[in-house]
Amino acid sequence: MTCKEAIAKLAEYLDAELTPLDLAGFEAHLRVCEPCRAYLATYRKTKELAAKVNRVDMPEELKTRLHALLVDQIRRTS
Amino acid sequence: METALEEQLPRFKEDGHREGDRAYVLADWTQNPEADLLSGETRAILTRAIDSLPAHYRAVLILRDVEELSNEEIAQMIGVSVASVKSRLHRARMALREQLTRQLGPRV
Repeated sequence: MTCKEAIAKLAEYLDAELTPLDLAGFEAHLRVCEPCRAYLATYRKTKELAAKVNRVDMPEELKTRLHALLVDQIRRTS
Repeated sequence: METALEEQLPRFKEDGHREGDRAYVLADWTQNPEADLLSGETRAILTRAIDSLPAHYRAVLILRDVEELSNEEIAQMIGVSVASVKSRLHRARMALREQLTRQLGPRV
């Protein structure tokens, strides 16, 4: 597995969605590739920080409205 | 302001290795106290980076990583395939990671 292929699989790796074969290949690559270990660590941290910086407690009703707003935004721009 | 997402995605050489000098590809700022404390500066960088994502990437990132909806739920809500949700999410995270690394990683 190359770095390019390993980085393409990061999200699925974090979601534990890789097939056993892909997981074995991914982990074997990480063992020998320091840049990809750094990439994985910083990618994972980015995800945590993004959640932390944006997380606010809000009532369910407001949350539903936020979701609707985001969906509307996606529909208008994609 | 939205910036081109492409500029913030990793680039690869023909052999599949990531491009960039060694210090940069090895940059791991996760133990950097600024990242842990989510200090004012880091918070500002991240907020700016999220705001600069194209809207349909930003929205997927928030629904997934902040609101913790599943890929399947988001796909259904916005009427695209699960593969498309996953792809947008991954690209959005990589773009944010790049912005944070430029600020918190080694100066190059």
